[in-house]
Amino acid sequence: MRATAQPVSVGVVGALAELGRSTIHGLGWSVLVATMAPSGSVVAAFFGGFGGCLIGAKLGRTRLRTSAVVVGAILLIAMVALLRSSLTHGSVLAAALGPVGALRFAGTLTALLSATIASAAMRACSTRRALFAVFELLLIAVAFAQLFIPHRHGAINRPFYLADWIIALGWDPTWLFLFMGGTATVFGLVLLLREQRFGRAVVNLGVVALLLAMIVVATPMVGMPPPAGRRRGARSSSRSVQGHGWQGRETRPRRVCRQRAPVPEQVQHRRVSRSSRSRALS
Amino acid sequence: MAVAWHDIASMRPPTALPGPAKGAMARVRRVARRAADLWPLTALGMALATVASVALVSFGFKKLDLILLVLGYGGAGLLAISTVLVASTALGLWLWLGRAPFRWSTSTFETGAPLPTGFSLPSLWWLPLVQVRWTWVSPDAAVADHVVERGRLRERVTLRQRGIFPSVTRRVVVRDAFGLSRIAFRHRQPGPIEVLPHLGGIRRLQVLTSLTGGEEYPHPMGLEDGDRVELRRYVPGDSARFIHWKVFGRTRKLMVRTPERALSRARRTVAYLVAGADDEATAAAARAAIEEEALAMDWQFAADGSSDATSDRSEALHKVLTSSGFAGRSGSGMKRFLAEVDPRGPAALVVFAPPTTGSWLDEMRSLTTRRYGRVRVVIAVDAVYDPHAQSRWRRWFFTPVGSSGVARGDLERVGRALGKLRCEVVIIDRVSGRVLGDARHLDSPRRRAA
Repeated sequence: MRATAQPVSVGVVGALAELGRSTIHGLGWSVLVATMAPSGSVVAAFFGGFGGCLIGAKLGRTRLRTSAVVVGAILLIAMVALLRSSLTHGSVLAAALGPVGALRFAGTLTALLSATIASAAMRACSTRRALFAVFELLLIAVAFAQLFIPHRHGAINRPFYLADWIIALGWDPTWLFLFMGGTATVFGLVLLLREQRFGRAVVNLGVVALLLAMIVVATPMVGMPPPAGRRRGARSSSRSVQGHGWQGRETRPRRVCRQRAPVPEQVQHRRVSRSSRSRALS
Repeated sequence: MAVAWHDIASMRPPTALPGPAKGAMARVRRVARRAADLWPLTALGMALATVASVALVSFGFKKLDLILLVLGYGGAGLLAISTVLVASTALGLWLWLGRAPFRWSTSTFETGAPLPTGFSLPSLWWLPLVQVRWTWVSPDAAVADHVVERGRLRERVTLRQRGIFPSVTRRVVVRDAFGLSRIAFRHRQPGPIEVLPHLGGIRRLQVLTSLTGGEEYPHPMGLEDGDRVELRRYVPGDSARFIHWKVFGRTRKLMVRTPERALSRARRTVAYLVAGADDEATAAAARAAIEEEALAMDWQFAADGSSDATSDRSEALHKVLTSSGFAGRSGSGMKRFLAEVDPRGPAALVVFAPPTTGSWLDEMRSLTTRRYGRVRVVIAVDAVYDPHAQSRWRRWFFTPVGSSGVARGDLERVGRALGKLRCEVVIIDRVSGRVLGDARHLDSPRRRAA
């Protein structure tokens, strides 16, 4: 049996739902781009995702074949890559804006166009077949996960730009990661929601929010999975948790001291080289 | 005629699979569909289960990624909750439907328009995540909408197939609001219900009312019903008013004027409905002819599936309805019907035929070679579309439009074949009641379906 496509919502509720989905697409793209491109590209990616989602919703209701949408999106993204390459490798734009400006412009344009095309294709496909909505969910999952990659393997004091601030306030960064995971899950599930009535949609999202709140609260209570080294029975390495509030079974997260966790040598070297590069740029 | 028949024979649709293999395939498909109905996860649900498992095992546990840990827990938790809710709701509804009595709002329906049936299910507005929808499995119908009224979803249905149905089978689908899980089961509501083909614009069609009138040909087999132009010897009992006195003056023989034997004003019309693919509009034309008395005063009617002649209006309508379920060779009862009605005297023959080629054209061939005079064939359609109207590149990029209805090529082939058999063909559009053309010309290549 063919999976049913998303029902066409009408009126104000439909418009609100579409705006909500577009905002989530925009946020997803901006979070994804945040760690790879300058700040201008983040804004461009947001607008690209937002506009692309709206375009995709319209596109999904046309007679254009799904295969044509997918192939067209791949071709267009390839063209965007070529355009970026020609902009950054050529001398015309660099002569007009300078090398940094040319790079920024090319990055912003690439983020805008790629987000627009990919969002439009994803939304058009998921409007027709529910299965394609999994790609939208993956976009959100990948975007949020890669933003917080440094905290993996129990290093909850990273990324420093966030963890330092949280620790300085005397809180446990674990809650932040759990909360961000919950937010990503809500965003992803909102994209899957297929409810035509506003009241029911609110109730369903309320149930999801309740479920996630339970997960976020219960996870530290029940106990986090032990770090890989501990699970194997080995001694904790330099990357394992030290003084973090969630190792083992604990009823509530422990307040942590404002002591920075020991930083591996490689990372220190990287931080030094980054700061020296920024000094050189300034 | 032989050349014409060669064309007709080549129009039969090819059969890809032999009968038993096709039947076995259909059975396997049916069983697979039933099994899939009971499997609670949708494709999206299974995809989410995979994503959540990977997020939990590969990233959440192995790499201690808290973001993906929560995402994995959330996905798996929602999937589990929705599956449990959907399964328990489906079970509850199935048990409840087994006991709940339903009454039909009416026993006679018409195709083409959304009508309330009296069937309803609880809307379950108080139960989050769960949605209930249903469709008709048999007879062919589209559930137009589910009107929410006092906590119940009330059904309005647009029927697409005429007939008399002993029961109605619905496929009730219980699913969650995220499209992750779904369970379907079937519910049978006993009938019977009668579904008449809707008339559309054919209600007052000139072509049907003129079928039995008009000027036709003098013929020795006709009734003595024309002008008094024939002469014969006077026999005792003839009225003296009709004695041709001038002839008597010349020849001294008493001659009387008699009406010519002609087929011009056929008092009797015999009509036959041929069942076949896409014959709903043609059945509507037959219904209009019967109900609006377009078949003159003295008529006999029969249809595929019950080829006994009848002159009773309600019985004729019953034949129109039952022809829908006819599974034999289309037009196979025509010979028997004509063998029954022809000995009663000359009659105009009207054949209501489907717009697609089939074995009924064989019957038409043997009929036209035996029968004197023309046979009128009425074909009605809802929509005519041209599959080759789009250019090739457009077909690559866009899904074709107007695929509902009859292909123009099919209709033209039928018209050509009947034209070669010297039949008088009338093609009617059910939506507007307009005559689209005859065996040679066809207007309005694209119309919206009724």
